[in-house]
Amino acid sequence: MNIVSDAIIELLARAGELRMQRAQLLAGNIANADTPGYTPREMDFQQALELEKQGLALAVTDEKHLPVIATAGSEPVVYEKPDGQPGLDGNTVGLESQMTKLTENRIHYEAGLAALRKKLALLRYAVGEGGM
Amino acid sequence: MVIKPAEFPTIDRIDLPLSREVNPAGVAEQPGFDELLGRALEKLDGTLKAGDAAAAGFLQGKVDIQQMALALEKADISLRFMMHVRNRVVEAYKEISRMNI
Amino acid sequence: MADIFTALSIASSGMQAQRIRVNTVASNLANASTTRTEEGGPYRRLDPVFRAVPVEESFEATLEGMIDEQSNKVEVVEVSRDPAPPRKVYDPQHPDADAEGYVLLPNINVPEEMVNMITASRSYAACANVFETIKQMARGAVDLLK
Repeated sequence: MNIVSDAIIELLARAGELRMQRAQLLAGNIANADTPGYTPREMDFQQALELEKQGLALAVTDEKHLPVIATAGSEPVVYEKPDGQPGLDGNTVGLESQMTKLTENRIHYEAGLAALRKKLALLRYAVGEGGM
Repeated sequence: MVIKPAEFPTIDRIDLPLSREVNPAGVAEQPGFDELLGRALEKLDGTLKAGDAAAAGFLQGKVDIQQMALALEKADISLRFMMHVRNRVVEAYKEISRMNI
Repeated sequence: MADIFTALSIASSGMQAQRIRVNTVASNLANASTTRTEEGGPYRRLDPVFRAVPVEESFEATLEGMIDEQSNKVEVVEVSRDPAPPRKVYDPQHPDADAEGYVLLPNINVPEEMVNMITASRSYAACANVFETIKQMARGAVDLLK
């Protein structure tokens, strides 16, 4: 019986980290909404998560492998992504677009956190009160 | 254990659809308790795995929040129910072993 | 490190920058007709200069990933005086009119200043929203312990 699913808990935890990183990036975009010449940054969440998944799969398949330090290889790629045409000052931040991304990011973050909480609660139950 | 209506033994048929053994008297035997328990455990494992898969799918953007929430909740209920059944079984076993024969 | 506190400081840097901007707009509006200053001459329009500053610029950050290098606070580098020349207005009655009857007035365009005020106010609100969002995300993580 697979109560202790380490892989999914690790994945959920890493997803939470990545969402916070993206939140930081988006915060920087919004703070620089009026900075001349500034272009908004974005990061590829799925790609970073995929690397983490592969890292975990590697760790699980062969116990003889050294434990994979997943964070080292699965850092997200950050790139510039203008929201629209630059104004006179060269700024390309679209405030509405960035705020939407921030909110969407937060919802994903909180849902992932809720799933993690549920997994941990199941673990705790199986280990604790479930026993006699 | 979720028992589907088709599996309820009816009065005119003593044999269960999944039963495999038929004794010479013509009365079919019910599946053994261990078989029923085994099936229930398999179902539980399936439910737990489905919950994990839903969470992973959500992270990848393939599964909705509601679908994931439902799958995890099902896993939760299944686990708690199985624990409950297990506790009852152990209780029953203890009860029986206490009997003086 | 890409964490809550870094994100909060980024949001607060945004709020601070916009607040400075609002202050300069207020100063400009208040002095739209000021002809006498300590430096002599009419009031010169103030203009905040914003600049993006990476939160972390170090070798370690490069090793760990680009999030901290690419996350930017905003900083008001300086509040500069607008170099544009003052407006010449013909008003011989004015106490500061010169020999030909011209007064040098600050080159402040009130509608433009109002637009700046509104933009600054909107951006400030956005940063405050970011601050609140980050805070809520952090609270959610802390709740895992409960």
